[in-house]
Amino acid sequence: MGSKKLWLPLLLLLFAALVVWNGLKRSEPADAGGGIIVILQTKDVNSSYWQTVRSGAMAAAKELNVALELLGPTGAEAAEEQKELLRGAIAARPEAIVLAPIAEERLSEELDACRKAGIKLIVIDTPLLSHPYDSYVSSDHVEEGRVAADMLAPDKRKKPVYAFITSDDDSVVASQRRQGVLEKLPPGEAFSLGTIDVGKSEEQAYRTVKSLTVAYPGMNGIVALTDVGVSGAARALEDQGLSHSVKLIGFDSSLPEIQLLERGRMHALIVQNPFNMGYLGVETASAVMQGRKRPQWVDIPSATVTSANMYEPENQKLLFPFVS
Amino acid sequence: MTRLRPPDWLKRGLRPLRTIHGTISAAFSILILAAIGITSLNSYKLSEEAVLSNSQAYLGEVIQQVGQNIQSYIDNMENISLLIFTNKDVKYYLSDNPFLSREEIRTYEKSISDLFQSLLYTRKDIASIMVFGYNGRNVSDRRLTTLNPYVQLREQDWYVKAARAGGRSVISAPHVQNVVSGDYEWVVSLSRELKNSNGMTGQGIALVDLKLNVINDICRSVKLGSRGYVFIVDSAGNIVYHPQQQLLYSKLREEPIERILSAGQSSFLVDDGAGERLYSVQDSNFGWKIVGVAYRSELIAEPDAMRNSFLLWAAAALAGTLLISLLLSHRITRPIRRLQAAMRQVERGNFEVRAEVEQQSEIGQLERTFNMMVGQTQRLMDERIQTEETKRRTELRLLQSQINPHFLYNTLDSIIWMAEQRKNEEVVRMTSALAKLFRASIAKDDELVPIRIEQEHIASYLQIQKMRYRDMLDYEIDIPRELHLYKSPRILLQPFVENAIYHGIKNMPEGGVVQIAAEVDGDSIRFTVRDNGKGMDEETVQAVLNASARDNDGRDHIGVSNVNERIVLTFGAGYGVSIESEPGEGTCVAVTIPKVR
Repeated sequence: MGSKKLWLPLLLLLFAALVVWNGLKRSEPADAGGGIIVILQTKDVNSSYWQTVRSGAMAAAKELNVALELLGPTGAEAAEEQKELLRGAIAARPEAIVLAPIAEERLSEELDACRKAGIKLIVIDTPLLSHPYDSYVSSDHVEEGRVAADMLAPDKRKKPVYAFITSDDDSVVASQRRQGVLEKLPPGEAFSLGTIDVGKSEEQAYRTVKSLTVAYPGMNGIVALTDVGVSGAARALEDQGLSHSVKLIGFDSSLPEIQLLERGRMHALIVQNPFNMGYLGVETASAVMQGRKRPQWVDIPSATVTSANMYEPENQKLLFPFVS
Repeated sequence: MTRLRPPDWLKRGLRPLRTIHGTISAAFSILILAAIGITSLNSYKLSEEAVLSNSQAYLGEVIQQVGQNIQSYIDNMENISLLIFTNKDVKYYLSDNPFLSREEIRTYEKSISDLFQSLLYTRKDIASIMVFGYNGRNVSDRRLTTLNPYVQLREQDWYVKAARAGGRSVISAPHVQNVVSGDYEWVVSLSRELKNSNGMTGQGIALVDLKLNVINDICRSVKLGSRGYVFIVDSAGNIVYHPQQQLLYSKLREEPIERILSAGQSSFLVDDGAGERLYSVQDSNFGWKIVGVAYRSELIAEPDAMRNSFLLWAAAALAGTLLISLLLSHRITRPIRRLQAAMRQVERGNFEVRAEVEQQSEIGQLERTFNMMVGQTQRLMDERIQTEETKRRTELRLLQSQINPHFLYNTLDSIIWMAEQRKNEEVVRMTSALAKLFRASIAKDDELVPIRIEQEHIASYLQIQKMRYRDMLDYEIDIPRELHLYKSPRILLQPFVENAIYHGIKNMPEGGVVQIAAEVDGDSIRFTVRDNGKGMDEETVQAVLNASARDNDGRDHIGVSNVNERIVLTFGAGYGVSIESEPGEGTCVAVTIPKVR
């Protein structure tokens, strides 16, 4: 018997070995790759907004079975700390970074490095204005502004006279919201008293609003572009007995704001859905990593909450994040 | 356009299929591969199903456990509410008794509050216990209860439903409890209308709040793979609890609520692109349906390990059986190969070889036949060699006969005698005839000579004999000219003529005539040598025909049988010599040969 006659069984054996090898290879744990690193604006446990973003991100990571690392500044110098975190994250070579930028201009170098390293960049919450990214997952802040304008002057029977208060004049989100309001209430139809930076202080807000009510007795609206200072503003209006005539409109929720809403001291809250933002941020990152197409902008509709609908099941979930 | 041709490697590769061994092992291998493949796949599927149904049962048990857990908490709330329901102090406190003083009311309030506190102390899962009287009085587990002034108590879901239920307990969906000022806790509420002592009129509502954390923790603690989860729907299909409730509200996620509601207590598979999932639905007696969701891919504990072990076993079995098939096909084809080797020997000319027949199989039969065939071939070969030998010998004798010394001596004596008689002319004739005779007989090596030569030869011979026997011998040769171009064996007729002279005519006192003739008979030519001599009886004819080449005088002699043998060997059995003879009448010898040009 010639050894050449062995070829067929040997070939079949080889084939079987190949099948087995292939099977074994496939059995290796689905590699999560470099995974996803999520960098939030703060890791502060007192920030229910960011904690909810976080739980949404974790829910997505669990469901999609991807490795996830959650980072966020904890100190006072948040923007600087975030820069460091982003630099560290790029060095760790994840497949994708989900970033909620605090100050885009400070991250310029890192954002370029991220691009160069081929790491997919998903932006959440605050848009990037001058850097490329793979997808933006957030509510439409301009639309939020438009909704706020509608709440302020639903019928325009009375000419709206209103002021913006903010804690951070550089905030892109705040300026987009303002843009939305101004779009709906152009100068001819309404009168804007301008934007006043009240800082993070409740007291400052109280004093500012109080002097505004004195200076402009015809004022009928205040739009708080960021979450701080609303309690002070509400207290000032209450003290002046103007709670019902001046509509106080805020964005996103915190317990003081919810209580103000409950008591009728606040007219409306435009609330984003941080859970969905976190979830869709990670989900989009995972999809982009796998080369699936995702829109440049994944819009997350925001909800308008008033005292009338605040205890509806959907809004309860939004206003009172369930953190166990 | 180029035509597709099988590449060389494929042709080379397919070459072994031309051998039986190759074909058998290929067939075995493919069959085995198919059989093992199908069997493995099948048993893998079966085991997978078994594992799946086990996990299904396991999932059911786990969910039942969850249901029982939640049930125990609900039961506890129920018990607390019944305790309140039956409590005399509470009844009295809520009754519109105008005789109660403020002090007395405070005393009742305190004792009820103490009772609630002690209940709460033992149950960490209860958020709060409260009683709201229709008479405006209310009492809770706290010393000081400030109700949230912005909450319309009578519009709360739990309040309305309890008032409507008429004494039966009502369980709410999870909600934020906001009745107490500054307090916003996620709870599940059990509420019940309290009756007065006659058991007919409602007096107020008792509220027991269970921390939602409890249910959350129960649901979260259930491990259904890394992605599986538990959720709860109420009998109306509203989501009571879901780990990703927000996604459901935003329609980013869907649960098959319809199927869950219609499923009763069972389980079903859902495959909607997000992965195949097993839903296990468990009813509870407080109206909720607890649903466990497990991903099929995770249900099978270590599906990879299972598949790998299957693959490895299949591969091992395959290797083993392939080896066996190889050996088996080798074993089956061994006699064939042995036979083949023997045949190759025969091909090379070795007819001595014999295949060893060892079994009664088809191959054995083949081997026997082969052996028989080779034997026969060998015998034929031997015979042929023998024939060749005989022919050579005959020809040698023939040659010898040409220079038969007696004939030569006699002829030469005759020539001498004639010379002495000065018969010059006759000497010349005889000598030239002798010369012609020898020329004709030794002219060429060819076995066959034209009949013309044969005629010359026999004519010369007869001329010599005529000169010796003179009036004793007459002869006639009648061979048509058209036959001259055909061929006949050399020295075909001389032995018969010789016999005719020596045995037929020589001893007749009056002498005789030898007639030689030839005629065409279809495809053959028939020579006849006829004499009118002594003749022979039948017995002698047979003796002559069968006689050996040796004469009784001991010298080599071209016998009739030898001529016959030569003709048969040269032309085949259809030709030869026949003798007709009558004693006293003469003999006629007929020699038949084919027409050969």
